[in-house]
Parts: sequence; C-alpha cells; structure tokens
Amino acid sequence: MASNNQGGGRIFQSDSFPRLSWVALAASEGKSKLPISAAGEPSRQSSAPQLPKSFMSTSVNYDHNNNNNNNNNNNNVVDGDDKISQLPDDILISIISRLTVTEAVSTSILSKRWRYLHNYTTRLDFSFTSKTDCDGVSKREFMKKHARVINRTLDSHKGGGFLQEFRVNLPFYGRELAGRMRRWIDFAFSRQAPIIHLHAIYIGAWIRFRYLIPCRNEFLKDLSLKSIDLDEEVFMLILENFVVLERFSVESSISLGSLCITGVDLAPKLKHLAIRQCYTIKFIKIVDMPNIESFECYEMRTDYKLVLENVPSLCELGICKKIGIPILSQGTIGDQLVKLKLSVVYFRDAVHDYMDNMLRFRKLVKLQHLEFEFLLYSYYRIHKLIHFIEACPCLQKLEIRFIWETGFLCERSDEKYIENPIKRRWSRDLKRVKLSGLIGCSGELEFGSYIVGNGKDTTALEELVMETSPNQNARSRRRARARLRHWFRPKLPDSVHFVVV
Amino acid sequence: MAAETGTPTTLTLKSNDDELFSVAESAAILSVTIRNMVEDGCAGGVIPLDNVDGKTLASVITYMNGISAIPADEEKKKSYRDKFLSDKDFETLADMVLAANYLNMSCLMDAVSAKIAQVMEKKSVGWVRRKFGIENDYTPEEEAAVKEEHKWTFEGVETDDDN
Repeated sequence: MASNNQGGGRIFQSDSFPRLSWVALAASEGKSKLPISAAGEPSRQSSAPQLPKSFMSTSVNYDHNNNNNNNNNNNNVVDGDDKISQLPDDILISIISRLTVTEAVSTSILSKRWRYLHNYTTRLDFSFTSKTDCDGVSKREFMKKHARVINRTLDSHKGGGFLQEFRVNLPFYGRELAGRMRRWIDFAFSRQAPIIHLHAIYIGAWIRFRYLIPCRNEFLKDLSLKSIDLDEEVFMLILENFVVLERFSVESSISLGSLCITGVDLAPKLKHLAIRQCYTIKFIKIVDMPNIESFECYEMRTDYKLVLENVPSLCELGICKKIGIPILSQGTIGDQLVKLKLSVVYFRDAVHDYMDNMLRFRKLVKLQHLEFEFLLYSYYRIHKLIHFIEACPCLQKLEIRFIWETGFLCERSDEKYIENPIKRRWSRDLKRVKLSGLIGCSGELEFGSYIVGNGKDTTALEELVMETSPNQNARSRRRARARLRHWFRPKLPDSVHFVVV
Repeated sequence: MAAETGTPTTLTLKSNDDELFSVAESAAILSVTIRNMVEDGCAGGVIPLDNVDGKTLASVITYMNGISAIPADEEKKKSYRDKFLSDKDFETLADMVLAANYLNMSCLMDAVSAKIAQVMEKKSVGWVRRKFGIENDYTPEEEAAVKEEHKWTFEGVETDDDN
C-alpha cells in the first residue's frame, strides 16, 4: 500500500497523456461497450458533452501542477474527470471500506485500477437485505448462499492483519449457520477488530454463543448481539474477559434470567449497556460500576426488577413500563440523569397508576433531554403528562410520541381536558420539541400550546416538529396537519423552525 | 500541549503555492504530522506543507478551528463534520482527503471517505462509472470474468438513478 507521504503528491503528478488516450477510449466505449454500463438508458450517457469537458479538465489539471489558482475552474467538470481513480490506494481503500462488502466487492468491476482494492478493506460489513433474491429460493438455500459469500470474502481478505469493524447482518437465521458463525467470530478476533456486531433475525433457532467466550480479548470495544443466544454465564464471561469493552448491546436473547453486574473487576471500561427484547429476564442489578454512563432496557417482561446503585457516571437511562417510577425516585439516580427515555407502550391497564405516580416525582434537576412514548386512550392522560414535564426544570429537548389505542382513535372527542389553562412554570431553556402520533384534536392543541408556552415565554424555543399519526387515513392526516398549522403558526415567533409532517 | 506560556501559541503554515496561514497550535495539532513537528521542536518558523495547496489548506484550517472549538462531545463533532462537508463538491473532497492523509488527520480522513462512499452506496457499477468518469479498461472478456467471479454482488443493487 502507498505510504502517507507518497499519497499527497501523486495525484498532481499523474501524467496527462495516458488520460488523454483513455478519454478517447471512454467516448468510444459509450457506443461500443454499452451493455454493462448503460444498458437501457443511452440518453444519460451523453458522451458528446462529456468529451470536451474531459479534455478541458485534463488540461486544467495539467496547469494545476504549476498554478493552483486554477483550482476553481475544475469544479464544474467533475463528472467527466476520473479524479477518483487517481487517488492513492490507501485512500480508495478507506473510501470503499465505508461500503457494505457487497458494494465494495462490486467496485472491482469499475476498472483494472479497482480490481483488487476490495481485498484490503478495513471494515467488513456483511449487511444483506432480505428483499433481494429470496424469491424462488428456500430460506435454507438463501442462508447457505450468504454463508458462502462471507466465507469466500474472508478467504480472500488481505488487509494487513487489522480490521476496524466487523458486522454481520443476516435477514434470516437458522441452525445451519451456527457452526459457520464460529469461523467469522474467530476471524474478527484474529484481526483484532474493536467493533463486532452480529445481528440475525430469528427464524426458529437461536445460536448458542458459548464457544467464543473463554479467550481474553484486549481489542474489542463495541459488541452488539442480536438473536444470538447467551446465558448468564456467557454474559458474565464477556464482561470479565473483554477487558476494554465500552459498549455492549444484547437483543433477543432467551436464556438470560437474572443479571448481577457488580464491582469494578467486571468490564472496567464499560460505559454503555443496552438490553432489549429479552423476555426471560426477571432481575437486573447494576451496582458499583463507576464508569457506566448509559443503560437501556426495552421491551422486557412487565414484572422484571431493576436495581441501580452506586453508578455515579450514569446520565442516560432508557426504561420501559412501570419500572421507571421506583428507579427515578430512588437514591440519586433522579438527580444524575441528563437524558431519559421512557416507554409505557403495552401497559394499558396500568397507565392510569403510572401517570398518578408521576405526580409524586421528585424533580429531575439535571434532565435536559426527555423522550416519552406512551399509549393513549383518553385526553385525561395527556393532562397528567404535564406534571411530569413540570418536574424537569432544565429541559432543553422534549420528544413525545403518542400511540393511540386503535379503538379510541375514532372517538375524536373534543373534550376539554384542561379546565383551567396551566401557566408554565418549568424550564425556559426548552429549545427543541417534537410531538408525534398526533391526530389534530383540541386536546392536543391545548397540550401543545402549553408545551410551547403560547409563544410568549418561549424565547429559547428553536424548533417545533409535529408528526401526525400514521394510523390514520390520508384524508384525516391532511386535515390534522392543516389544523395544527393553523393553530400553532400564529402562536410562534418567526425565529422558530416549525414543521408539520 | 506545549502550553507552558499560558498564551495560545500560533503556528504559521505554508501551502505549496506559498500562501501563509496562521493557526492556533491547539487546533493545528489535530494533524499528527504537525504535532510531531511541534514535539520535535521543528515548528519554530514557517511549516511548509508541500502537498497541500492554499485553497485546500484554508478549508482544512477552517475545519481544524471548528472542530477543536467543540468540547468532547462526539455527537456535536459529528454534526459539525456533516455540516462542514455538506456543501463540498467531489473535486474539493478529493483534495481534502489527500490533504487529510498527508497531514495524518484521521477524523477528517474518515469523514471525507465516508462522504465520498455515500455517493457510491446502492448504485450500479455503470452509474458509478458515469458519475466519476471512470474509464472501463477491461476487455469485454476480462470484465465478464471479473463479473463471474463476484457474481453474487450484482444481484442486490437496487437503484440506478442519478440521485
């Protein structure tokens, strides 16, 4: 590979004569070698205007060696000039390393210059979309085919021994792949990849994750597993053995029961932990983890228990269901949080209790960013939300997503849910507000007015985004949008970026 | 770094077309190349950068100043980088990635590479060739052979539009 020092100069030194000759070639290619590059769309080829452009840019580029002030003249002729192929190898590799493996490999057909570059990419992203070519092929065949592609790519990969990233994202997953995945993981480990993401979509079998753990790994900083099954023991081994791990995410695992993450010996560098869709978890305890900054657990069973103690760096929390209440009022957690994401979807029967509990909240004194997602079946509940927002005096960014219970969506009752308009007492720093899932009823209008403070006391407000509910038909959405615009536009100063979608 | 005096040190950089630029040392040492010079004590006078022209160097310095003014907040840095690169055409990006490589500024190099790669994402080979004016120097037989070798990659390309 070209070294850094050679890199910079090379482009300007490239002689113009070979390029002149290929410009002519390229023009003739437009006519003769059409089938690959421009089949079916000859009009876009436009070889006629391209030719003079290329000539011009070649000569300009030649001058460029002597006088760089001409640089500006080049800007309008980019398309005809093959500047990209003149970039040094390591830069081209850096560029195609950003593509998925499929895309990077397909650059080999661009020209001889690109033929082998893809073997040296520093990131391997095997993301396959399920849309492509599974028609007429069984899922089993499909998986086998993708596994072959991955294996072949790994066989031919050179890249100097190091990888920056290794991602596998399979649209399906089955037992057949279990054995092969071991090889992929071994490969990523041997190339000392600091980022490993293994994502699959469950179709009938989870892969047991046991085999890869016993080794100590001093490179891995970011591990994300989806539909890869691990039990408590493996989970703990990961935290013990992957000593520089900073970010760990587990999604859709079915063997985790209770997790006790305590003490500085476990994952001393761990900053971000996320657990999603692990319905078997009953208990999570995170104690004495001085570095942990964010913790998320979503889509868990309703009755799991969460204990957070002595986590002084924790400032971002994402939680679902009623678990939020005791956690926020417990210990110092409520005082630490800067960002909070709360989700109370799938919790219909207890929504009422939930809201009432919020009223007893202590203040979240540092909270700047609140994301709230909840199921709605009466405006009365919106009213209760206000008290929660009141508890956050430093709020800068607020996002609320209403999810309408299907049966209630049609009852567009225009009941007044706030009898006496409440004067806003809270945060004057609020800069950005996003409300989504709206249906344009009067309850929302008043709630929105409260949030933006009727435009009088909201000098800090910069942005208000409103999204209508996707569950409505097109006509209702249009009407809702018109109503929201009509109501809020006059209330907002011109400086506020106001969007209704 | 090297801030014993308390007042911010300024460095003078010279482009290959003899333009001079002043830049705060704290911003300039984002470039490992420059940082090494500073650490080796070679940064007393004018630092000549033989592989960077004035226009590109001006851009790079704007970036250095912008990004070093942002405290350790990856999200804000990322949004600054996105904004900084949003209005740059390919010619400028190519000059900038060469400069970033020469100056050994990995964050700028990564951001520009990603920006250029974005153009190629989900596009057919023919589209990329036209967009960048890449000459196809394969013979039809060679091209067929390369295509056959990587047959699987051409099955998933979805768009062939100009945008």
